[in-house]
Amino acid sequence: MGLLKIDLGEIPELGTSVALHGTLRTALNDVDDLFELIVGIAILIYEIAPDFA
Amino acid sequence: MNGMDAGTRAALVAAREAGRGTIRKWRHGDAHRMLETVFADCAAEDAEALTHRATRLFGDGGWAGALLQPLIDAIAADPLFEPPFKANRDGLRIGAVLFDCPAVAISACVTSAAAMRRRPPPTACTFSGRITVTRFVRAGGATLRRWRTAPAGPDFRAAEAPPCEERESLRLADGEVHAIDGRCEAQLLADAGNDVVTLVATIRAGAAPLMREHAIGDGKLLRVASGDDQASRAEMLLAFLRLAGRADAGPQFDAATRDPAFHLRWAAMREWLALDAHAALPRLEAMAAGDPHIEIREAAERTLAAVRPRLSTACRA
Repeated sequence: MGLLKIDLGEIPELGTSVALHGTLRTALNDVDDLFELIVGIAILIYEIAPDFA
Repeated sequence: MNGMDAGTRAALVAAREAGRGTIRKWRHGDAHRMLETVFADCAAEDAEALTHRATRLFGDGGWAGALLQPLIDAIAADPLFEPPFKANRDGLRIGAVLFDCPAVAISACVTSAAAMRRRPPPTACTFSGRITVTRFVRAGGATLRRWRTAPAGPDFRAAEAPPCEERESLRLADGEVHAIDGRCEAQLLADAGNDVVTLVATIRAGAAPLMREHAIGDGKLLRVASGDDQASRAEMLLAFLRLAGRADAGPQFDAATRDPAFHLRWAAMREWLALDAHAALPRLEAMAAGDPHIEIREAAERTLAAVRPRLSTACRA
């Protein structure tokens, strides 16, 4: 039997939506956290699965 | 490298190579070592003690000049020398992280008074979730607008978030030091006559899991973001596991549905259901029955109602 996958669009989201770290910046925050986070993830995924996508 | 000729590229590489020794020497210099010493024997989780040490350090800003001078000299000697700082620039400010250790990050920032005047007045303030200590090296004649709201606990709900309230503004003077608790306090610079130069110590201990943005006009909550990069990292990696079809990662999905961050718990369950609903079902049932966050219990309940019939059909088939 294959895996049963539920479409993400059919699964409710929470009423309290929480965006990724770094999408809100404070007046005294001097580093682009979101950029660093996404670059870090991209590097990690490339290292785990260089042929992915 | 777009539009860069071979000579410039070679000069950059050479400058980077030559700069390594300067940076190594700088890291072992008195000023950098002094900063290491200030926070060395302080428990990284003791927010109060770290705040006290940062406040004491910022009582005198002379160390910052001593810290930067060797790097300024290096740039004067070679304009292609790159100081070892993470830097960020936008239309309003330029900032750089001068010192970073597990307990605290210290950054310097110049906020442009001209850019502040050109921009429309801010419409929102952000509660960072972290304790910060700021030394206004050059206050630029600015005022500090301040707001307060209740801290957000693990059961935080946007629908029930109280509004923030503005407190009395402070007129800043050169050399003043202010600590704020970003879990319940926010601040913004306003009315600067000249550029504002700040040193900011961000204490990592005791950080709230969420950052919140409130409207200045009516104080209402506008947006919420994760204050924890690890939670966001986990969210993205779980999405990657789903996209990669890694149904063997059930234990990782299960562990993430038990994370203290409520938004990560539900994000993990959504990814798991989208990958392998049958494996996720027992945990989904447990979350519907007993997750500490009411929104998760409700979402899990609704999801169960939709998923159970399909799983029964699939099992019969």
